[in-house]
Amino acid sequence: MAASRLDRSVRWLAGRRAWVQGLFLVVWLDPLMLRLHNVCGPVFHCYSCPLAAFACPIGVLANFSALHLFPFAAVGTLVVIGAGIGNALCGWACPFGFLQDAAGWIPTPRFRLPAWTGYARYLVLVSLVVVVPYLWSESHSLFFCRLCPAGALEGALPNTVNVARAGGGIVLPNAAKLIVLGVVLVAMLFTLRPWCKVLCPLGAVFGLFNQASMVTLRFRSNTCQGCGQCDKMCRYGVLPNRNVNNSRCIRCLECTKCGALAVGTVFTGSAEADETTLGPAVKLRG
Amino acid sequence: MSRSLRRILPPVTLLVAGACALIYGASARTVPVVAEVMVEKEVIVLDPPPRDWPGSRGGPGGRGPILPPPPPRPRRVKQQVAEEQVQVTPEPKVTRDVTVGGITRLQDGRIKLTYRPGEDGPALCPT
Repeated sequence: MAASRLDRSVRWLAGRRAWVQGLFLVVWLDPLMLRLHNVCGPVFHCYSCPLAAFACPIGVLANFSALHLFPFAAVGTLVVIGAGIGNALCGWACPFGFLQDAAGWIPTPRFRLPAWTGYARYLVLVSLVVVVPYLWSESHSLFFCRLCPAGALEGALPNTVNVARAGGGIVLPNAAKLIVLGVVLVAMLFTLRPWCKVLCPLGAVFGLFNQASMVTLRFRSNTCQGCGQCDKMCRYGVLPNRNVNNSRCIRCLECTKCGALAVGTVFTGSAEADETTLGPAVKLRG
Repeated sequence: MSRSLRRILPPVTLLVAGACALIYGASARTVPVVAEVMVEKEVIVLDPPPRDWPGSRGGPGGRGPILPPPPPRPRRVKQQVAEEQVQVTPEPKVTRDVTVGGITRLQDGRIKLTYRPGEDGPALCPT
């Protein structure tokens, strides 16, 4: 009974995800002007944004790599959140993810990107966030922050306007950054969350934890009829029917509306041991 | 190992490890950072030679060789001098400084503040 009440709550919440994302904006946009930039936030929000409450974890990782230091606090923050809830912050709290979801409300033809494009995120994480800064410092043109679209949108453009308003003339930001932002903005109109699915290094980090987080998604094998409805419900093309805790899943929980998928924790007792993270598609193939 | 333990162990281990890293980074970890600090120091200044000194126009009546000026007198004065100091900086402060480009790595491997402590640091990220 308790489980079904939880399921109903989860489905109710899944229908109101945009509201939750909007409420989280209040946290990241620092209405109290606390500017806690010595604390690493868990979402992709540029610290150069005039309204940023916390430091961007990817910016901190890249800059610490350039300093040849290990960022204990930033890595600790990411591991704690990843081990707790996996990739859920991407789906429920990230402001750049919210922007992409909002672009998804514009009625344009949408295309699904092949699943393998998701591996590019790891390439971005390893090369642009770790290796390039470590070897060539933060002044290299391929340093991640110099290409970051969130940095262009939330930091560079507002600061350009601020400088111009203060009488400092129009000093255009880095052209590469603006081009990447332009490409991502256009791509948002033709596929859902292109940045998250293909290039986001933070999503790559959190995605690694989807398989080993406290909170997980599980199939109820006694309820699942193998109809594949969950695959159709997933707007992001994750195919939960194969592996519900796929590293590309942002845990939007839309798929739980089919009734066979449920949110659980690793502490779920043996009475529910028939639950599995592998979907019927895998079982049929196996 | 039982199935439930296999399920619980990885996330719990990760969570504990992450919490330890977070606590250590936020409260205990420090980084040696070179900062240029203005300090008041006593320095020795040599006064310029006087324009006229006995013998600058030769001997009595302008005759004879011109004598060299007297040696400059050393004088001790207190001045503000920029001096590099290694400061033990907590990691959260380093995190704050990287967000505005207030810290950089020198070629010799030392980490240096790009502004002087006590002054306003850079306001914006350089990228």
